[in-house]
Amino acid sequence: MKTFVGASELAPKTYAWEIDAKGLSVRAGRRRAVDGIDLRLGTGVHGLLGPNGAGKTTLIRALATVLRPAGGSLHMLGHAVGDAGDQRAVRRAIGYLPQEFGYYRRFTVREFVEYMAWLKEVPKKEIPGAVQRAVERVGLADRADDRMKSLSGGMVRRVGIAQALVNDPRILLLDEPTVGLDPAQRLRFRELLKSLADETCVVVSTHLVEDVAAACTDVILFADGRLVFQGTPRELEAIGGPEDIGGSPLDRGYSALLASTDREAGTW
Amino acid sequence: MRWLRLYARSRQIFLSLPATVISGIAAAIPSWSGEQHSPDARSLVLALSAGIAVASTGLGGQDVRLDRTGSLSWAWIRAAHALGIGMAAVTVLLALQVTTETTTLLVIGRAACGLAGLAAIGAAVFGAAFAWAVPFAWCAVAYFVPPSGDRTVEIAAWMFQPADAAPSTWMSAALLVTGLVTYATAGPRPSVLAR
Amino acid sequence: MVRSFGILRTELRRSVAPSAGGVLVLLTLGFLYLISGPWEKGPTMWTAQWTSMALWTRFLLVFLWPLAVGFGALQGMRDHRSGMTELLATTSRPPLSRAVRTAGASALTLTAAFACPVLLGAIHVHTSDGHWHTGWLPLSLVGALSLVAGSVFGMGMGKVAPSALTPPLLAAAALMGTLTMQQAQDPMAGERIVPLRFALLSPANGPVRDVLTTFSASVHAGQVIWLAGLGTTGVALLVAARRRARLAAVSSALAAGVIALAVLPPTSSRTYVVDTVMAAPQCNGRVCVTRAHSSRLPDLVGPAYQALRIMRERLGDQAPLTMNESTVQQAPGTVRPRSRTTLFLYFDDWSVTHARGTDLVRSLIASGLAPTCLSPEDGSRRKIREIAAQSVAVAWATGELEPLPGTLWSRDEAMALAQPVWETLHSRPEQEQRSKIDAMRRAAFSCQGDPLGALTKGGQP
Repeated sequence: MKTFVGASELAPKTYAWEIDAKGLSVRAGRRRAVDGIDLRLGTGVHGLLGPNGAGKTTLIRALATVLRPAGGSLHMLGHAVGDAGDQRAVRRAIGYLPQEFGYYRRFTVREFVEYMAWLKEVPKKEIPGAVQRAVERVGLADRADDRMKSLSGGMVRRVGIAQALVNDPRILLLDEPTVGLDPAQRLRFRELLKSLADETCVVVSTHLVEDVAAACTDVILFADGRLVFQGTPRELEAIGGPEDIGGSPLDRGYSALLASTDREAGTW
Repeated sequence: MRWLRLYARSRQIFLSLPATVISGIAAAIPSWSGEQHSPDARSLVLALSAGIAVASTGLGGQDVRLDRTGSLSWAWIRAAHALGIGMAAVTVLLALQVTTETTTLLVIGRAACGLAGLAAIGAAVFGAAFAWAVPFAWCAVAYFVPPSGDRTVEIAAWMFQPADAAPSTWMSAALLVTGLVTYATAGPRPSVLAR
Repeated sequence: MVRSFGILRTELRRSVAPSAGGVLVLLTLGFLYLISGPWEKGPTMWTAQWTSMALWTRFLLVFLWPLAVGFGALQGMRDHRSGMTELLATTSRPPLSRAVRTAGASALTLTAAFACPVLLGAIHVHTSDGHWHTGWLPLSLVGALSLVAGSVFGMGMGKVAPSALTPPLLAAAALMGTLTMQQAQDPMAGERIVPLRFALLSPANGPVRDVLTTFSASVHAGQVIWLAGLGTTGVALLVAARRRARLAAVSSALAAGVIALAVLPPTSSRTYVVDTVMAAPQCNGRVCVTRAHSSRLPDLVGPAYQALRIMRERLGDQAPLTMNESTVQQAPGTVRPRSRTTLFLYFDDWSVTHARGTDLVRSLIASGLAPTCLSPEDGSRRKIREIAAQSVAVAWATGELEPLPGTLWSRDEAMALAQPVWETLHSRPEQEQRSKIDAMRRAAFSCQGDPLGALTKGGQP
């Protein structure tokens, strides 16, 4: 819920999809972690599922403009990403929570989120209000003036979510956001995601399938750098049958799809 | 032996030991190019402090909290490490054969003990990232105190006093003991600069 | 509760800046007030004059600057050690903004920390002597600039090499640099390890030997160029992402160094100049002192004229006519200038500074009749004989043998030597006394031979 509406928001969208990737390849080290995928994501909550090493984190890092695409094209919010020029406009509208979230331990929660808001060029007058809203949304309003080093792991993760939200981004990239959160907090997190679904393109990479089931409008299954499935959770559930491994219908659909890809015995 | 090698790697000793050697050599060079060929004790003590400051970065591990969860008796290991820093720095200077006079050697030995203790205190109080600043700053400031027989000078600038100054030796011993005990029992403070 | 924010304020509270500033203030004030040394007493102490205050506070940079560089390296490592680099790479604000805020916080605290001793010294000087002039301002401003530039450079190096070894290595290297260069910057240095021009790149100058000596303008210019280059390199290293940009940054430091070396003066005489404002003569008739010591003139006038009168009575035409404070810079191993017509005053001579009344008259007569060839701190046998010769000469002029003021530590020995010589001399006829005094004066003015021996043997050149 925004309290300010800038001119850019009132202008009609010039793009069809928030994230538009064609034949996108990204390298992680020497490997091609993302291998020629076509991906089109609009507003809504998109869950990114897949085994470890599939390239989910690499994809999210490429979307966050940390990594440069090695091949193909990537358009975010209508801007072409990949040349050094126009990344500033895109970065203003992105929120990112990395898998290994680093932070300044001496800063307080409020100072840290303010710092990130300033770094994302939120207008100066609006920073205090935006920070307060972000901190309240993740439920840390009572700890806002405590130093980061005094927080538990789950609280630190929530600060990470807060800093990703502080600039009211149009694209929100969350890599393992529920690590360290207890079940009650995960429920609140899912509600948060649902509240964002209308106006933001959220990409959530997670291992917890029930998070995906509850909150996501769209599921993307990733394996070995390739897109294996993209569709609604219902469709994924429909794929799974009684003979597949898994506790929930979504789990069964997940393992059904992954069994069809080549996996060695004994690997996790 | 394997355990020692792993410990050394965790403390980045393979990185800091060459750096200690290099800094000791570099620091001792100006005293060689002086008029007399046996460098005076003051420059050598300063070189020693540079070596100890560099070596003191190993006093904290990569993840201090993780280290604490181990079941080893860390107190003895830490004490040995702090002592080892002093010995390593002295060995560097001795290996370079900077001096053969016994009085200078005594001064260097005393300074090594006290400075190692100071480095250990610094690691316990401020964390390994800042531990180098304590012996370094004290030495750098004390270098300029004009020598005199005054007792306060002998205590304040203890590392640069002649070998027979008793208060200086007591000061060095006190710093060594305090440093070893503090560091062995409390361990390095988790630094705010690392995770 | 929503409050106004400021990134600079956050950095001021949470970065290394406040600790660095606090440590620097403690070290400087502790050093200046608690440790006794030439900065604390004597005619060149740090609270004596504006220039000596500025120079002594810059002397402290010898250990302050390495600490600033080391703390800067600690600050520069922060992003890498906290694991923030990934997140920071996704933000839109250019890295220069961020670097400016972080470096600016340290710059503020370091400048404030350096300003503390300067302000305290200024208060002391103002209340004690206080001839105000602005010639010392460039000294302190360059000093503050050096701390800022060093800290920013350290930050750049910390960003480039975020290992835990970087701060102590950088600080130790900086300390070795400032120490060696400080030794070469001493105006009294005999043999310099590094050339003076190169040594002037370090902001820490040697100890203050003389209240009237200051740096020339080209020294300030060269140092500013070098420090600006260092600071720019630091900022460039903080901002640069690619290796090529970093190499370009380092090369800017080298370029600044080369230009600075071209600007800096090559010789000692062009580096250390007499502070013209402070050396301007203040005269009362035939007695002149420099403006730096103009407060002593009233006490000096009476005894000075008395001494001149006595010498005129006894020496006639050969007596000195005027009394001037000397502004010549003394190179080590050389003898102070002397003249038969002018009596040169030196305020680092305790016999002049601490004597009053008739004591002062006697020490002035001693300088006029037999100016010393050795430095005031000399304690050798030759010096004691010289003092004995001076005592005998003063006895000849005034009629009584008394110990010279300011020679407490050698008084008994000198008196033991002077007593028999005076008695022998006093028993001689007037003309013989005069010829022996002339022989002694020849020995004293040429600094060859033994003045005391000339008094005993006498008459022979």
